[in-house]
Amino acid sequence: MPEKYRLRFTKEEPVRFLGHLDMMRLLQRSARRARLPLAYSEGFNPHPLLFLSAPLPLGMTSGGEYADMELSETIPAGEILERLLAVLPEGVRLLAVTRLRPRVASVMADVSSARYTLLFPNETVPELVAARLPAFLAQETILAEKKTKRNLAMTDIRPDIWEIRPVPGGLEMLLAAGPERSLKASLALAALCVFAETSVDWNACRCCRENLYRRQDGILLPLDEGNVAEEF
Amino acid sequence: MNQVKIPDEVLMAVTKPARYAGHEINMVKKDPDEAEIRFAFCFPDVYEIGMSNLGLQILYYFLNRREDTYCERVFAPWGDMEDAMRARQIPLFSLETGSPLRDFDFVGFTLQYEMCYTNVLNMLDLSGIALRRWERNEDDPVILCGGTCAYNPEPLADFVDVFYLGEGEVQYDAFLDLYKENKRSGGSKAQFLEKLLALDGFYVPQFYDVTYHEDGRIAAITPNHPAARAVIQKVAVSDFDRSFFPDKQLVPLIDVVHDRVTLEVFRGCIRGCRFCQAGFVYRPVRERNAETLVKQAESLYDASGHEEISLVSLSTSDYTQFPVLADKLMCEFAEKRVGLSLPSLRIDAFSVDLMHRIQGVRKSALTFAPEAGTQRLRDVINKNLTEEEILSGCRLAFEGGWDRVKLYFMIGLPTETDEDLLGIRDLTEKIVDEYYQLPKEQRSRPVSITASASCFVPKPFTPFQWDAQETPESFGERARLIKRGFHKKQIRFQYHETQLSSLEGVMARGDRRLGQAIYLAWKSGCKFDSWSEYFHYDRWLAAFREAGVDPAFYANRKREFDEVLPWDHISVGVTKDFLIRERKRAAAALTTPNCRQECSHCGARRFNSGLCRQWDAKGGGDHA
Repeated sequence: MPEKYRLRFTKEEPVRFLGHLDMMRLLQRSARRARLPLAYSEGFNPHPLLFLSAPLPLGMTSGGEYADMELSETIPAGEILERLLAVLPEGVRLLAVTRLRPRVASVMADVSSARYTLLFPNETVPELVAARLPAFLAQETILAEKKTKRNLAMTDIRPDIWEIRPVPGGLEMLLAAGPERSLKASLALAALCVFAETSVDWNACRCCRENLYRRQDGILLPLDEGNVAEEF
Repeated sequence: MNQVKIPDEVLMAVTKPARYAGHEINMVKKDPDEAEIRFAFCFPDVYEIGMSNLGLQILYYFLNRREDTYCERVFAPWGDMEDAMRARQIPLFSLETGSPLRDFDFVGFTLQYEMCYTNVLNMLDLSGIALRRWERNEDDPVILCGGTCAYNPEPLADFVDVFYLGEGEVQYDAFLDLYKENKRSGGSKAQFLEKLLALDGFYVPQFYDVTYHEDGRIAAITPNHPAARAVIQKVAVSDFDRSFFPDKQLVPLIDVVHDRVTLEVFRGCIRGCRFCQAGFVYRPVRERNAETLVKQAESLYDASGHEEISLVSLSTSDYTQFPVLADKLMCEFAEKRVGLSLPSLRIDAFSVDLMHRIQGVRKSALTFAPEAGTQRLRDVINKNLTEEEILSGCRLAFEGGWDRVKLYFMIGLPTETDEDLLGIRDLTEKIVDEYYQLPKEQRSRPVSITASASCFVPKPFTPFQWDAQETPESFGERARLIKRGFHKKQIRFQYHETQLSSLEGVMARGDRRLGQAIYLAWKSGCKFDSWSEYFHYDRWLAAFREAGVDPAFYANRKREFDEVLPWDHISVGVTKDFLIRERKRAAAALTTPNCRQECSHCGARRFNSGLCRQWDAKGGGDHA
């Protein structure tokens, strides 16, 4: 009986430069080393049914990455966790394995928002930015140049900013993410800096995507919690 | 422990920053301060190329199995990272611990191809290590080189302290034990290098002098130390089936060129194709047993989780247990959805059938290497492949559903005529015709043939080592002659790198006087020479001029059989007498049977191992 599981894991310093495809391959190979019976697609070029959620920009770390994995047999989630923990490389920490209820939305489709922490490289900027933050958020519209399918266009990004608040040394941001609307953390920061009449080198900042969230009955839940989980 | 830190802004700005991150699956982690011997294994090219090298995988685990040794890896940083490092005075560092190379006891380079020499110099320079061996002192690591190009070590003789000649599994333990013992007894680096003279397989250039005739040819290569051997013989594993093989492998986290479980089925080659250096320098032919290989496959699969297993050798179809091994691997791994990759196969009924059975195989192109366009020229180079075999192989492939064929040829082979060049066209067109012999229903798509011609480079330890290479202009003319001859639209003809091949022709048969030219080329900015974005032929020509070296002397000059060659003090087993006999047979277009059909007394029997033993058992006598 095929079974679907959702994995939650981190992506830390040693692996922060791995791309989306690299991570897929890493998980596939780890599953093999853990002797997990991966399920495969049909057709001419079968591939393992293992899918990653929203791609992370290169260089960013993450406290909550998600992947859906289908196995050809039912194995207790706790055992999958143990077996994978033994084989995952440094920098990828498996936090949870959740057996999914049938026919839940895919790990890519179900995302609605993401939480980021951003640390600035030096001291002066946080103060400038924190001072201007309330006024920035009080605006009804915030125009920024955003990449559309074909080119760059001025778009209103205010609806995609759910929350920004200062933290020691930086900011915490809750931004739209997922297939319908999404806002890059770098773009949100850029817009804020323009408003605060300052500038920050994105490449010198440290940004971590803490978690990904889905929406269930109006509340935000991590992607593997709520009515997607078999035990619910 | 010193640790090099690359700033975030740099990592975020360079291409593929993961090249510099390490932390691969099965990376060895030791405390460098606890290791008595620190060995930096340097691959003089970029990460993706180096991580595809089987030798690195074997030696990495071989050396690290010693408790007293920590072997770490170093790859050449790409241009953008190098610029950032130089701007910030960041030295070249190892992947495992981020240690600068100057902290190591040994900095060892593997020389897989001649055009990596400027990268060797560049990596030394990036480490703050003096390039010339006589400019280095007690505190500098021992600079060591191994790999295929070490068999003609002379072009790098000025820069390298010691060359390891042969297979790594044989002598590295003795080498490191000697080093440890010397260090513990308070011996210096200079004393260590001297003590090496007693070990088989090591060439220490400082103990040899080279003198020259007026006309530039070498007069003599003479030891200047009583313990230095006149001829240094390579070392080869005796029982290949039982020799060391790692039970795990480094699994890269990014895409590299070859990324799969790799099984070495045998070493050496029975064929004796006259242009092929590898076939001669890796003799004698020694196989592994199928059971051993299956066990290795299991272990490597468990440790890696790879999706593909590859069998490598110089000619996998010649592996005597090939059907048995292929069968066992398919049975065991097919259900795990692990594919088999089989490069270097002869195209015959067996292999076509096997390709069908390999699960998940997309019909990619089938590859043949006729090398020459006429039977006469194939006989000259001793490439045992008839036109009928090629055509019937293609027929089988087409019937089996393949519609793409790739053909490898060489131009500039000895005794080549226009007829031979046009023979490439004729052969290729016959293959197209063969396809159209199929009934229409079996031909759903047009056939696509790619004929690829590379430029012949005469190599040391082959029967053609005395031949003159064609000039770049001549290569170009020959390629154009072939190209003009093609009329069928199904055929794509490509040739490439005439200038790079010419440089390879200089380096391959170079002597110590090239050292200065290599240095000047590097100084003028040459590095990553086999990458088109970095290759500067004009700078090389300028470097030769400035060094007072005539590249044509090395590449385009025909030598007499009695000339002293720059590698005459190195022995790979195969004798010069044999090579001369083969060169004469080539001139008469006479083929030589392969090692299973008959022993041609090449000299490899002196190693008393592998296939040669079967001739001893048959009482073949010893003419070598």
